[in-house]
Amino acid sequence: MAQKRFAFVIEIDRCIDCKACMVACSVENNVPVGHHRNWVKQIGPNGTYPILGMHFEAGNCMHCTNPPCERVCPTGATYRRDDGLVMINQDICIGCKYCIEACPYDARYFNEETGTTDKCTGCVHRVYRGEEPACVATCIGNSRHFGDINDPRSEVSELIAKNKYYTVYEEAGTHPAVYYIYRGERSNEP
Amino acid sequence: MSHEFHWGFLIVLYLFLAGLSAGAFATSGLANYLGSKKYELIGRVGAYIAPFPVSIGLALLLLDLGRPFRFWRLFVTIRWTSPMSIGSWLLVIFVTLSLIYFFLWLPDRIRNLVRLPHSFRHLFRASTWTPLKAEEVRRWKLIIGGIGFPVSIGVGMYTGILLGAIPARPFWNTPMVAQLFLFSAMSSGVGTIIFILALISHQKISFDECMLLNSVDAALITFEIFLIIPFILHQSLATWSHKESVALIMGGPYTYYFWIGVVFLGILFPLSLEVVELWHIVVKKHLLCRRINLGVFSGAAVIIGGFILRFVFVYAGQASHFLPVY
Amino acid sequence: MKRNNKDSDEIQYSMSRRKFLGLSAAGAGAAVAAGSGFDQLQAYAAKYGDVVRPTIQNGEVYSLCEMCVWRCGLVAKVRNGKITKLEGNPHHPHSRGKLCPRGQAGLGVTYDPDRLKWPLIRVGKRGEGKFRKVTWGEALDYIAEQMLAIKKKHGPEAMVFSTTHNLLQQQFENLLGAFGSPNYGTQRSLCFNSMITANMLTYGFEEPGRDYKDTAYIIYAGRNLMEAISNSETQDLVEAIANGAKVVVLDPRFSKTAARATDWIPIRPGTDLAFFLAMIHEIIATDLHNKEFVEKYTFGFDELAKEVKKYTPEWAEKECGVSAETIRRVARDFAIAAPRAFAHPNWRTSNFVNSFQTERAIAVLNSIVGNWNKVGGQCPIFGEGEGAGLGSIPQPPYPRSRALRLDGVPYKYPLVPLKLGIFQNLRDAMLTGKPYQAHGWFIYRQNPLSSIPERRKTLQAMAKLDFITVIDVIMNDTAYYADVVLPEATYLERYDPLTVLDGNIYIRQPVIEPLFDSKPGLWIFKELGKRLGLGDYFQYKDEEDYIQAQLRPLPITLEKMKEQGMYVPFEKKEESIESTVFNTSTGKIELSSTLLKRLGHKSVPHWLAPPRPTEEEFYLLTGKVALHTQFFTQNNKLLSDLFPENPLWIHTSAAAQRGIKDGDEVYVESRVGKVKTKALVTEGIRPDCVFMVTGFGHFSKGMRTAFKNGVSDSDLHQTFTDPISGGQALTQTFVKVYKA
Repeated sequence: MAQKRFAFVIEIDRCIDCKACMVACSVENNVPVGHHRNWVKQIGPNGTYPILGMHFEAGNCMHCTNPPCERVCPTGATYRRDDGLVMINQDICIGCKYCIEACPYDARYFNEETGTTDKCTGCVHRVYRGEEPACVATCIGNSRHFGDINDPRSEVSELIAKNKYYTVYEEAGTHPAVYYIYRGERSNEP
Repeated sequence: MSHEFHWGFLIVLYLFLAGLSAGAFATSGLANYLGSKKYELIGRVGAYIAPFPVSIGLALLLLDLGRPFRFWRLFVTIRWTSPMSIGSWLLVIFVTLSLIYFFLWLPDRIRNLVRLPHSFRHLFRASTWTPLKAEEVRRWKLIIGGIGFPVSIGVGMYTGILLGAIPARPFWNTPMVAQLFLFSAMSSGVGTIIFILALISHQKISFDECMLLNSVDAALITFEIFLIIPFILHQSLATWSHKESVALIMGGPYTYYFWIGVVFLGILFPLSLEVVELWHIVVKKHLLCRRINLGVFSGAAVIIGGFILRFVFVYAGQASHFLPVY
Repeated sequence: MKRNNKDSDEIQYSMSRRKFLGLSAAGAGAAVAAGSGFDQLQAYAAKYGDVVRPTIQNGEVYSLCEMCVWRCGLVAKVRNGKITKLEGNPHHPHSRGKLCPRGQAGLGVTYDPDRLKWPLIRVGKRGEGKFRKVTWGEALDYIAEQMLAIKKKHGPEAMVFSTTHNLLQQQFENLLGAFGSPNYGTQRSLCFNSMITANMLTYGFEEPGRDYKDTAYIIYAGRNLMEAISNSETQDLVEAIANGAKVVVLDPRFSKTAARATDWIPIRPGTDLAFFLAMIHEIIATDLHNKEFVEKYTFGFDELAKEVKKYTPEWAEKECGVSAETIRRVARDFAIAAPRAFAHPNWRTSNFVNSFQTERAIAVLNSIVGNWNKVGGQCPIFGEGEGAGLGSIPQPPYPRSRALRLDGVPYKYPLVPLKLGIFQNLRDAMLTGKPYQAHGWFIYRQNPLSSIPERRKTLQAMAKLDFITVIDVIMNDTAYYADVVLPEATYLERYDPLTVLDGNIYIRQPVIEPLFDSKPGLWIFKELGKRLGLGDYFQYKDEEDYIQAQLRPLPITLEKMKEQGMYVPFEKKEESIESTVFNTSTGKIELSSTLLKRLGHKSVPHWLAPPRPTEEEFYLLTGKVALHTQFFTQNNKLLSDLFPENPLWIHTSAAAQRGIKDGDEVYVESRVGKVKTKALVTEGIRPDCVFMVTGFGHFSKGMRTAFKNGVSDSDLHQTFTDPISGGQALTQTFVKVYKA
C-alpha cells in the first residue's frame, strides 16, 4: 500500500464564515480560550458600493512538506510524520517559541497552561479512528476536506486533480499541504 | 491569525548580554596574544567581564522558556538545522571556557588557593596537586584564549543566525543580520572594556592600550556602518514583504529607536569620540583620556547602542510578516 | 465576582473593576481561562461545598441541541463524567451530522461558571443583584403563594405567562391554561407574525417549505441564511449555489449571504413590497404566469391583476431605488425558471408595518408561477410538533377564561393567531393598566428586557408588577430584575417531551446529571402545578414517566429510544398536491383573501409607503451573526471569544461626513434612547443605513463575560405595531449617529 500523505482541501466558494470549524476544534482539542488552532479570514468587502465582493479563507497548520518549524526546533519536539502531518511532542517541548517565530502562517500558539507550544494536529486521534478532523466533520458548507492525496480515488485527490488551486505564501518554500480551490464569483447576467 | 510578540525583553537582554560576553572574551584573548604585558589591563578586564553577562543572560533565557526545568533536553541532541540547538552547545562551551579563563586571570594570591594535578598520573593523588605556576598560567591563557576566540565569534554570530534563519520574519531574513550582530557583539565587548577602564583606571591606562582599544572599536563600528547600508538597500529592493518590513525602521514605529539609538548613539557618536582620541594619540602623541575622560561616554554609548540594536531587531522582526496578495 | 457568605446564604452579584477573565479589547493572549468552565465549576463546588455530580455514563448519548430553534440532533461524547464534545447526529434531518458554531459551543452553557445553580429569592431592590439562596421547596412555595394571591385578588388573568419557542411549550401552555390566564406572551410578534399571518391567509398553513435540491432560482428579502444559520437549510443553500442555482438577495446590507449570492440588490429598507409588486405586475403583463395552476388552485386572480396594473417597474424604481431593468430581469428569470424557483418567505419579517403586505406579495408571487409542491419550488413542511401518534397524559379540561387578553388579540386584532399574540402590546398593557392591570409575570426561557423594543419602557412596566419570576439557565437581564429565579437544568442535562420531525420521533435526554441544584422544566412545572392546586394537570410521576406515556402507543421502549435517539415509524404520511389542504375559506390559494375582505381590509397585496428617515438620520438595521443566538450566547466564552461586541456598521461616505474613522466611539441616538458604541466603517451597506448585531448590551452582573459588552438595540428601538398581523416594525426606528 502506498505511503499515506494527508492534506486539506478547502473550497472557498462554499465557506460561509460561520466559524463552526474554529469552535469545534477548540472543544475537540481543549484549546485554551483566546487561542485558536485554525481560523477563517474575511477577504473583503472588496470594491466600491454597490459593486462588492467578499469571500472567506479558512486555514490551519499547513502540515508543510518542508516545515520551517521542524527545522528550527532545538529539541526535536516538532517532527513530521511519515503521513505528512507535522506534530509536536508535548513531553519534549521546552517552550522556547522559536517555532512560533518561524511559522509564516501564524499557525502555532503558546499554551500558557502547559508551558509548551501547540497547534493543529490534523485531529490524528480521530483520523485513525476512521473519523474526519473535527473542523471537517462539522463544516456546514462542506467546504473543508481532508484525506490522503497519495490515494488517487480520495475526495481530496479528485478535487485537486479537477480544479485550479493555490497555496498560501508559496514564496516561503514550505510546500504546504492545504490546497485552496476558488472558482470565483459567479457573474450576473448583463 | 495575527502574530503576537512571543519574544520580549528577556530575549533582547539575553542576546545583548551573550554578545557582550563574547566580545569581552575575544578582546581579552586578542589583547593577551598581541602582548600579555603590553595589553595586560585589557586582558584582565575582559577576562573578568566575560563569564557574567552571559550567565545572567542564560538565566533570563531559562526564565523565558515555557518549561524551564526541561532545558536539559537541549543537551541530549544536536539538531544541525536549528541555530538554537547549535547555539546552546556553543554557549555551554563558551561559558565553560570563560570560567576557566576567568580563573586563570585571577590575582596570584587567590588563584594559588586552588590546587590542580600536573598530569593524568597525578589525577587521583590529591596530595601531589599544586597551584599553577606562572609559566603554566601564561601558556594556558594563550591556549584557552586561542580556543575561545572562535567560540566567541560563534556566540557573537549565532544570535544573528538565529534570527536570520527565519523566512517568516522578512525583517530578519537576510545574511546581514548575522554580521551585524557579530560586529555589534564585538564592539559591545570592547566598549564595555573601554567603559570600565575609563571609569576606574583612566589614569593608569597605557598609550598602547588606549590606542588598541580605540582603533579596534572604531574599526568595528565603521564595519557596522557598511553592514547597515546594504541591509537597508537589500531589504528595500527585495520582495514586497521585505520592503514593507524595512519600512518599520524607515518611518515605522521603530524609526527613532533605530536611527537615534543604534545609528547615532551606537555608531556615529562613539566613533567621533574615538576618532578624536585617536587623533590625539597618533598626531598629537598624547593621551586625551588623562585630561578628558571621553572613554566613559564612548563606552557607554556603544553599550546602549548595542542593546537598542537587539531591541529593534527582536521587536521589528516579530512585527514583520509575509504580506498576503489581497 | 459572586461573593457567597456561607453563613447567611446571601449572594451579591457585582463586577470587580477588572472584568472576570475578561476578553477585553486588550487582547486575547493575556488572560487565560481554563479550557471549558468545568474546571472552574469544580473549583467553585469544592470551595462552597456543593456537588458537581459525576456523569451517568462514559460513551455517546443522542440528544437534541437547544442553541437555537432549529433543534438539531446531536451526539454528545462523555468521558469521566464530563461532556467532552458535541457533534451532529448523522440521522437527524436538521443536522445531518454537522453542528453550527453555537451547537458546537453547547457545552459552554452547561459548564458556564456563571450558570444559575440554586433557586434564588431577591432580597434587595429589583436590579440590585442581591439574592438569597433557597431550597426548591421554599422557592416554589413562595411562587405559588404569590401567584395564588394574585389570582384571588385580581383574577388569574392578572398573571402573565410568557416563553419563547421550546420543546416544553406544551407543558408551559398546560400550566397557563390550567391556571386560567389567557395572557400568553411569545416573542413571535418580534419575529414573524407578518409571515405566518400572511401565509395563513394565503395558503391556510403557516409556512411553505422549500426544495433546494433542484432549484434554479431563489429570491431572499433579508433572509440571511449564512449568518442566521438554520443548519440544514443553510447546507441546502450552499449546495444549491454549488449546483448553479441563481440567488438574488434583497438586503440593504452586504451580508455574507449577499456575498455568496449571484445578485446583491441593496434595496431601500421597507420597499421590498414595491419590488415584489412590480415583479407580479411584470409577470402578469408579460404573460409568464402559470395559467393552468392559477386556474386550478388559486382564487382572486382577476382582482390581483387589476390591483397590480399600476405597479410598473418604473414606479417601483422610484420607491425602492432598484432600476426598472433589474426588476424586469429578475421577474423574467424567476418566471422562466419556475416552477424550479421560489421567493423565500423569509423569517424575521417584523421590519416595517408594510411587512405584512410584503409577505402577502411573496406568497402571491410564488403562487402565480405555480411552484407549489413542484420540484425545486415550494413544498409542504413536515414541521415539528405533536402527532405521529404520540401518547399523552390524562388531564381534566381547562377552566374557561372569561377575561380579555391584554395584548388585544383577537378583539382588536382578529387575524392574529392566539398562539402568536402581540408581545409588545402585553408590555404596553402592563404599563398603561388598560384594559386591566397585570400584577404578575411568569417568564420561562426568555429575556423580554432585551428583546422587546424600548427597554426603558419594559423596565417601567415591570416596576408596576407585584411579582416576577424567571426560569432560566443563566442570570439574564430579566432574571436580574426578577423576584424569584429558578435554575433550569440545561438542555444537556434533562429530558424534554418527544418531538416529531419529518415523521420521525426524536428524544432529548440527559447527557449528564443536572449540575448543582438545577432541575428540568418538566419537574418544575409539575411541582409548581401541585402547589397551585393544579396537580391533576400534571399527572406524571417524573420526566421518564412522561416520556413513557408518550411512547405508550408505539412499539418501542424508553431504553431503546434512549439508545437510538430516534424512532422511525413504519407508516409515514405522504403528501401530494392533490392531498394538500389549503385551509382557506375557498379551499384554494387566496391571492385575494376572503378573510381580509370580510374584515374590511383590501384583499389583495397592495402598496403601503414606509416612512423614510430625514437627511441626517439613518435606518437602523439589526440582524444576526453565525456565532450568537439573540441574547443567549454572549456569556459563552467559546462564542464571545470570536465575536465579543457589536460595532455599528456605517458606510464610508457617511462616516467621512461625520469625521468618523473605523474603530472610533460614536453615539447612536433614536427618539427613545441613546447608546455609545464603536464604529465599523465599511463599503458593505447602503449609505443611508447603519447596522448592529442584536443581542448585546447586557447589564446583568450575573453574566460576567457578557456584562456591558456591546450595546443593546432594545435601547434604541421604538415600538410600532402592524394593525393586521401584530408584527413589530423594528426597522422603522431611525437614528442619528455622531462622533463621541
